[in-house]
Amino acid sequence: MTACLTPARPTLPTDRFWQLDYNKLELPVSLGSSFTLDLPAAAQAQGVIFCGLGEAQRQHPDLLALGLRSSINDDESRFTQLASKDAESGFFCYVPAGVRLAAPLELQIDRAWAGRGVVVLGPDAHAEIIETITAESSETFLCELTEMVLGERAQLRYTSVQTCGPSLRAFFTRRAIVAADAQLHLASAEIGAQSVQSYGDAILRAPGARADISVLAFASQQRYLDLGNDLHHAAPQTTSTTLVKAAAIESGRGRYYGNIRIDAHAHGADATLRDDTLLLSPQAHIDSVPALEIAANDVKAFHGATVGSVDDEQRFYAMSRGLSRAAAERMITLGFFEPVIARFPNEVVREFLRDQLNTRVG
Amino acid sequence: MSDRGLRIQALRSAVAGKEILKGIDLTVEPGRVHALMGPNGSGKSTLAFSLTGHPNYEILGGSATLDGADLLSMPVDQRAKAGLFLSFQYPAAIPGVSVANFLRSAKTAVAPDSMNPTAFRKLVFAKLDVLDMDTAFLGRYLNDGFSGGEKKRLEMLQMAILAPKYAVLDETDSGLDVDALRAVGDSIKAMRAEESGRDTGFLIITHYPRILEHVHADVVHIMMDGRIVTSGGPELAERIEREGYDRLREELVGIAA
Repeated sequence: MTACLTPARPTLPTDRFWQLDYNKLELPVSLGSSFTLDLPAAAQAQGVIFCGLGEAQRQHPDLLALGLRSSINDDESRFTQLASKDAESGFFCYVPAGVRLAAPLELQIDRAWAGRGVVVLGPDAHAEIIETITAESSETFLCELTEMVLGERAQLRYTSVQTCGPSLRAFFTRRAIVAADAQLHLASAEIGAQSVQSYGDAILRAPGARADISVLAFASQQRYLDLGNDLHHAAPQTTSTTLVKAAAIESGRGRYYGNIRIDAHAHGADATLRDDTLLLSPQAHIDSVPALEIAANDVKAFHGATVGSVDDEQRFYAMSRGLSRAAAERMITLGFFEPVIARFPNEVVREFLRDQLNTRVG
Repeated sequence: MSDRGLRIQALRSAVAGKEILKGIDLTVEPGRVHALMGPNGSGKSTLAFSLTGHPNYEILGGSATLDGADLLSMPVDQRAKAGLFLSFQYPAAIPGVSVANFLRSAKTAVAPDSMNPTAFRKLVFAKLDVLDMDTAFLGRYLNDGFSGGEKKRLEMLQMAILAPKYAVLDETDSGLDVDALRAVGDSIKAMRAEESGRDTGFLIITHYPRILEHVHADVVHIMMDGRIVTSGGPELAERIEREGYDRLREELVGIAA
């Protein structure tokens, strides 16, 4: 089972890209000082749990066991090893069956750390989690593994917005197991940090399961992005849509690895994956590596990728209306990102992303 | 002020190393309407792009001034700020950028502090009305999936809102049905009827004289092979309508011979 859950991504020559000496890596500061969890009283009254991993182990071991190591093993990669090293470092969120949260749960990470996150939604539970990652620390790293388990007909919207300082290296693996008729929307924005590895995977395990994945990524200066999504259709009548928009300016570099896997018995699966790349300088570079592994016959699978720079005619048109070259390029770049911004579930987040990009582009 | 006007003198320009404009002399005075007609490939659009500063068009010689200011030395955006507007024959689509956002950005660029958001909205709604356009238009992405007629109406909407000193319309009438053509004509008339548009000079580039049934042209120029071969009043357009360009060409060649 474990082998089947782990996406087979081509490995990067990791040490060179991340410029890290793994033997010397120390665990960053502990969870308590890196995290802010916000659990509204109303949600608490409904039986919702949102706490540190240590507390979850002591007080809710049975519930935690529903999600912990459900799809990510400790030794999947060097980063999973690091994130699993301190068993108490991480967060746990549990939403009982039938509970529909009115307001999003908020999670803030403002310091470097390494740890695991576990989110469990019971059947028919609805929840939205908004994670903001703003660590500024230098010469250190941030490593988060988050597993999500959605019960039947559950709906989870998980949004993460990373705007870390320019010297931080950040590693994220988020993976969800989605039950029958449940819906996952995983939206992530990678805007800061020196290097970012961000993987978002969904395992659609029963009929009617659906995953929508939205990725916004921006690389500037010497930054490096390693983005990946793995959509595993493991049951009939499962649906996934993935939209990735990545731009690089200056010497920003990166790669995207998008994979759709459809098992032999997953009849009627419907998978769409689109990744668009915008290169804003001659030095910028992003590789896109599409992959389709389809073992069933009667499925729909679409994978489209585009790579381009700012179109001369678009720039000329905008400039002919009085916009400066920089303003024209900023407008065109924001337009490039808008379709993915529009998919982010929360208006406050959408406005934040537009503001961030407006100040960082050009 | 003798230097007022969009003054083009001995203008020569090339595309991909090939000389297209071979010496154009033309002056559009404030508040006047000039029509520039000619067969396909005569260089009409090249003139429009050369004036606007498209990077693919290389100026070989001559000059172009807008109320005395040297257009050809300005970057593209400065020409717009100086008061030049080009209605594109094939405007670019910019997905993800709404019409409303684009209009606001453009107006702010050419006329900073010109009006508050409420006044701007009023202006936009009034111009939409003239062009018989729905307000839902404002929320759509710029030219993205627009029909030919919608693109031309959007060009006219921008012209009305930006209120330029000189407007060059590059085949704005081509491919339009009767209703759209009338809307374009009405838009130009409405603009000229207002204080802000009374002094606007127009250079209407067209292949067919049809648009001139909706907009009265003070002067008509005929362009062939990169030169203006003859100029006259509206009767010249009527003649083209009756006889086509070939007859005129033969006559002119005859004179030269």
